[in-house]
Amino acid sequence: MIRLPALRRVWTAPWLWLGIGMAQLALAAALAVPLRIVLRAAMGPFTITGETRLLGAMAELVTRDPTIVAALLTAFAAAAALATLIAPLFAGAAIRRLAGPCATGEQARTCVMHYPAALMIGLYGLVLRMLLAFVAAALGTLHSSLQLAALVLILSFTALVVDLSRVRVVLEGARGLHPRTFIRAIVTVAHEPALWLRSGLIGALHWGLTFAMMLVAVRGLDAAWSPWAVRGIAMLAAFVALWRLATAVQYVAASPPPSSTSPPRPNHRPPAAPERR
Amino acid sequence: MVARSPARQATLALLLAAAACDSPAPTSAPVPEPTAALRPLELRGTVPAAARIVDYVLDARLDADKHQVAGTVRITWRNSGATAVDRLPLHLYMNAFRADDTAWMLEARGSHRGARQGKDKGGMWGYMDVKAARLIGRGEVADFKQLEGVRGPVTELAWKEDADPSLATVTLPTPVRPGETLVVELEFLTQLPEVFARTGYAGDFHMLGQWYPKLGVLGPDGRWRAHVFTLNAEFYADFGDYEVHLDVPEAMVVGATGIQVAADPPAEGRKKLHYRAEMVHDFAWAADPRFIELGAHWKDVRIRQLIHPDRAADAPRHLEALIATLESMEARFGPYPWSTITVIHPPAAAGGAQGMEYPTLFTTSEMIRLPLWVRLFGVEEQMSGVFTTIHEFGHQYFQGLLASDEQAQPWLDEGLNTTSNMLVLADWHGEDAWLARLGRHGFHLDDFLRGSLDGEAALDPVDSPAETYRAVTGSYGDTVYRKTGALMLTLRRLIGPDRFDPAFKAYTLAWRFRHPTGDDLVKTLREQIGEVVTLEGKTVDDKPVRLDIADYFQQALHSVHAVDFNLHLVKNRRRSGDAGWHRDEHGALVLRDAPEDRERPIRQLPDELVEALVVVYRVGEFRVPVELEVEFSDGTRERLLWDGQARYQLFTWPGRRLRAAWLDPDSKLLLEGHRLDNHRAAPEFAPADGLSRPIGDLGEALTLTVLGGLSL
Repeated sequence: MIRLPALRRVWTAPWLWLGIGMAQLALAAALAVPLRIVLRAAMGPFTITGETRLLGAMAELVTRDPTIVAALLTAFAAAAALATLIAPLFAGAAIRRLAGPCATGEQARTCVMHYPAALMIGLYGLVLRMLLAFVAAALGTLHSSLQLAALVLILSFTALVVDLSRVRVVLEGARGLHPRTFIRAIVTVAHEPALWLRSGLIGALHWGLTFAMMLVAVRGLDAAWSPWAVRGIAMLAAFVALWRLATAVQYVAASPPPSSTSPPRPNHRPPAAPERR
Repeated sequence: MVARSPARQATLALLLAAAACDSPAPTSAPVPEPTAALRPLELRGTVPAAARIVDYVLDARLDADKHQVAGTVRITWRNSGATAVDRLPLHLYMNAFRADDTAWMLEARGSHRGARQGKDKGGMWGYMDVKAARLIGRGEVADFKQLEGVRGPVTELAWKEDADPSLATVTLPTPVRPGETLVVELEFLTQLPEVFARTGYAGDFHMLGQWYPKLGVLGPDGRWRAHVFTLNAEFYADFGDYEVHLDVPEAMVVGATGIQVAADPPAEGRKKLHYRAEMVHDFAWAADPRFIELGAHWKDVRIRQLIHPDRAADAPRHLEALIATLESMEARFGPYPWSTITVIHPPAAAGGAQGMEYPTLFTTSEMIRLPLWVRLFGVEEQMSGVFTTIHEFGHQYFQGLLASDEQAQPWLDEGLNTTSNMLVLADWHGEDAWLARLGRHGFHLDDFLRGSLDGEAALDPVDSPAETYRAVTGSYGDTVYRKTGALMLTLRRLIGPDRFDPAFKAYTLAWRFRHPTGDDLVKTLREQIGEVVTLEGKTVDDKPVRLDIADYFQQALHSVHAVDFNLHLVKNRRRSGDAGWHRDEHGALVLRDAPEDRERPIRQLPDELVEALVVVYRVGEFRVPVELEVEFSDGTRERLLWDGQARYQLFTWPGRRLRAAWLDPDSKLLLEGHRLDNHRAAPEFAPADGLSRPIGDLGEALTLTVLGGLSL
């Protein structure tokens, strides 16, 4: 029998998953509104006909009204910015809930309290990715396959380091603003290839779903089923993202408490294991 | 023995596996040379003897290290005009790249089709230096190959460059009489630039286009046509035969105009090749030791592709496109007369040499290799490589065979060729052919042509000399290529292929091996199609709608007027009644009451009390007939033709309720660039605009991708 305790942590927190999934759907829908409004205004009382003639019509519209491109780019830039800023906010609540049941208020408090640290850890992750990307680029000069392999390793490594750092901040009260927590996570991941593999596989599944979202959106452009399929995959991607985070939570929960050099905060409560059924 | 760590072993294994995946290097697969430069008479059709005006015999030696060609050219020219001439204008095209202040460079400013002039000091400039000019002989001969009748004492000739060095003039000691033949010989040295604007070198690759002095064309009015080489001006020359002897390094693989008729055994690391071309107006060649040769046949025409091994996998696709083009163009425009066609694939480093046509030889461009993940999205394209091959081969007809003056009327070759390219693609892939595709959405031929009609294409009339188009405006490509294609195919769709295609073919058959002008084209089409064509279809007032062909071409070629119609109003209104005061038969005023439902909203009225109304504006200055299609609330449809002469037109249908209206529903007006205002629904039936939903959905999906499950 395969034991998937991290998956169980997500499975037993359905409201967390649904909440985060619905939040991202709402965010995406909201960011698409200006784009729809601009397009509607540009078309005025007219309609385009021909089921497969979108490209020509778009080309004409963009040529005549470059603000469409600006609206499109603004929506994506806003999405990227919001993802960077909001994900760390959600991360605190998610980690707290994945560690065990807790009140909504407690989750909200965790979000706010650990937001600066989660944000800083995200920044450290960005720096690490950039540094390792140079290594991947250097390997790419030898062979493109090596570059691809290096990129996969780097992305999965960094994702786990970030997850682990944030989990330790939330659950162990580690000092997230200080780079030592992040460095400690690097050392841990380097010494735990099995954990890295587990997290990497789940991360790969997440990337696959993200790619599938785009694939469905483009291939199914203008088809009635396409947006709903994309939203469904996005919900699934949110679940898998939580699962990856839960592997770090599970690791920390199952590890012995840290040494006295980083004592738990006074308000820290030991994580409760998910109830077995 | 060196011990290997597991990591090193894994790396080595990965590298070996990657190397093993590489396909084996393709090798040459040549086919035999044809025995004659022209196809047999029964296949090529008649070649008029009078078309042969000038013959060239060239002896040239390529110094591949210095990228120089030293040689002599013997030009045998017959005065086919009605007056004597006392000078010979020579094109020294390569001098366009000699300095910053040539006419070509002043316009181009070191850039051509997005490629920059070479930066290396040695390769920045190209030039052609005429060392000597001699009169070999003159006389009355009918056959140029029989020179005995014209041989005479050798006389040194005076010559000098014109104000722009792309032209030079040779002064003759005595005028050449009509019908007299003249033989002159020139010694020249051509220095190639680094590949730029079609010609030059890149490493060992050498592309030799416009590499020897060429004679101008004597017009029927007795005046020479020899233009300064400017950025957009291409070439213009008379037909004749070429005998070319090339001395090249032994390792070079050579592709050239015409056929190879002899090759001397290599000696001292060099080889001599002898080429022959008949009834052509230029000779170009390419040489590269890395070329491999891939041969094929279409009917009796030898097809030769010269390509680097790393691109050889693209060759079958080019061949497929080339054969589709040959099939289509021979059926539409008459037989391809030559026995060979050579496709040069310039290497990536020689991008500036890609996409250029010469008689029986053209250079194509690389196909973009889309990564697998991009192809998974359903992205496909036929613009790179395939379209270049179709377009450049198309020039074998426009202007290889119909040798119009590319400087005076560039639209006549580039534009008609673009027209033919669209027809080739439609013949090959169907009328709904696309040039690029994203999933099930195509960027179709219509979109390609129409995409040019905004902005730049409205700056210069189509029928303008090449130098009229200024590089900074970017109007040349849009106007000369695509707008011409749009105007020709608009006419085809308006009058129907049954009328247009035979007329166009009549032009191509009548002007083979000649120098047609725009007037010749329009005249032929008017003769074939008729001065006025009555268009089929129901009209507004039952009067026939006629298209005046001369007027159409006048607007399309000589003005910058745009075709643009707009559905200004599509609505249903209350049908006019008879309420109010009217006089009865006794002359007394009698009141007829208004119906009780007079104030009811239109949508609640029965259809018989409704009148459908459509108002069409002609926004553009171009006057051309347009069709209107309407759909009524009961699902029935009706079409009406409007002659498009007035500024606007009202259409009414008493007792009918309208659902929607379309202008130009069959997309006949390819000259209309703005078409988003061509479909409109009545307010009570207003559907979604068709764009905001799918593009909004796509935007939402992209946003979700960026959020990536909030990535956490």
